[in-house]
Amino acid sequence: MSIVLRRYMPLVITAILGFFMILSYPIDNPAITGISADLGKWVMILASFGLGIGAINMFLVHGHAIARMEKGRWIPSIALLGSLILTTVLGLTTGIESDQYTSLYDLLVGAGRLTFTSLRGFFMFSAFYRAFRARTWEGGIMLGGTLLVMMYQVPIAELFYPPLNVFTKWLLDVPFAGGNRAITIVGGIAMIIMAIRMISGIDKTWMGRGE
Amino acid sequence: MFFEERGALFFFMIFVFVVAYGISEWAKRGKTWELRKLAPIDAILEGIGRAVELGRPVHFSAGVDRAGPGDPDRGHAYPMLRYVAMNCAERDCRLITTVGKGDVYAVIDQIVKEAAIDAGKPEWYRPDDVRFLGEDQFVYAAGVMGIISREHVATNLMFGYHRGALINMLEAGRMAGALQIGGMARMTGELGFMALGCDYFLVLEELVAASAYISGESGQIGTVATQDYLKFLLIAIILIGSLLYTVGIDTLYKILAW
Repeated sequence: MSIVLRRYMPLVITAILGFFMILSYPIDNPAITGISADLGKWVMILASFGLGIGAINMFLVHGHAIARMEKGRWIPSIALLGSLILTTVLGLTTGIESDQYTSLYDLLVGAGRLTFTSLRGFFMFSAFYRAFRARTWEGGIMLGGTLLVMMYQVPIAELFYPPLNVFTKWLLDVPFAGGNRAITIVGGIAMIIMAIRMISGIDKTWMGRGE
Repeated sequence: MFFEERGALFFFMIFVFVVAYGISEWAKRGKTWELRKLAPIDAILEGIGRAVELGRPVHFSAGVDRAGPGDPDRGHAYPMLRYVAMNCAERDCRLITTVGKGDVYAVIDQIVKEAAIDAGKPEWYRPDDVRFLGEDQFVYAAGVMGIISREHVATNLMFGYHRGALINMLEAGRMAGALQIGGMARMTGELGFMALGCDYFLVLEELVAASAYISGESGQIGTVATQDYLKFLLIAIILIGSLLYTVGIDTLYKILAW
């Protein structure tokens, strides 16, 4: 592929497709929304091809590791390829709604996910403990705000000192909501600028290079 | 109707595009703006230096979201990865890059490879150090936690969009004694995890500024200036609109709702 094609084709494709995707939001016209819907289908088709290439690549990389019995890699590679083959065969022969297929997923992936989610509780606790120590005045404000919101949500404050809830509700409805909206608006501008940078070719890092 | 109450948005988008492109061209012709120093960016260099001194690798995570219209974080993570990879290559520091979505693997691999070439050290690039760990966020997080603890990562860089398992990865980094720097461009609950677990982190628009800051390109710095001008414009619209609506004039409201 010539350097011109390699350098400019991705930019041209991104610019044209990006504009169609953006235009489909404010313009309610079947011609434009139709193109944008078709582009969405293209993404699915490309992703399916990507999945196929990924599976072939996995067989090549891990098959190589197994064949050479690479230290520390070949046993996990057998487990990986074995799982891939087992899942594919089960899915194709019994269907993805079958008990065998769903049990395989639920018992392995589902259990792992639950374990991870439980673990997250402990990690969150230790992270909160570190972050909410009132060593600085900023930390103190954060700690105070957190305690107020917690007492409002539980709601313990309602039981012991109801006026505190009025204050916390005001905090949530006025300063917090205002701050949140300001951050959302500024974040939105940042996203628009980033999209413009990528679509117009000002930023080309996503193609693997700077200038 | 043609616009379905999004006419003002349509013209605003065109306006933003013209202004951003115009200011970017202005910057290319010599107009300069001073960007304030961003502590997390300086900390990245410190982190790489620390990894070199300790003889341990740097880990970079580019997030777990797909490349697509719904993912602004990728746009910020790529320039950051290029910057980190170039600096690691220059200092011969090992960089382990993990990928959470298959469709962006090739892009990320290419960024690391080209960064090595641009740094003048193509031999530094190791395909084995750009690793796809799995599409599921928990599978990805388990892989990252394993890498952080097995490889004794000295600096953990978490850019791009991460989901709830982010806190698990950050705590694994803390247990390994790694310097942790992160950034996220979306206002989600995970942003709080980033603030809790990272030593330094960049949030929302700071990421846009950071990618321009590290690139040093006048065009990109121009877009950061555009961002600030737009903020002033929006503040003016909000203030004027609130004032007019309070005194009973709803013209601006009607224009914006068109």
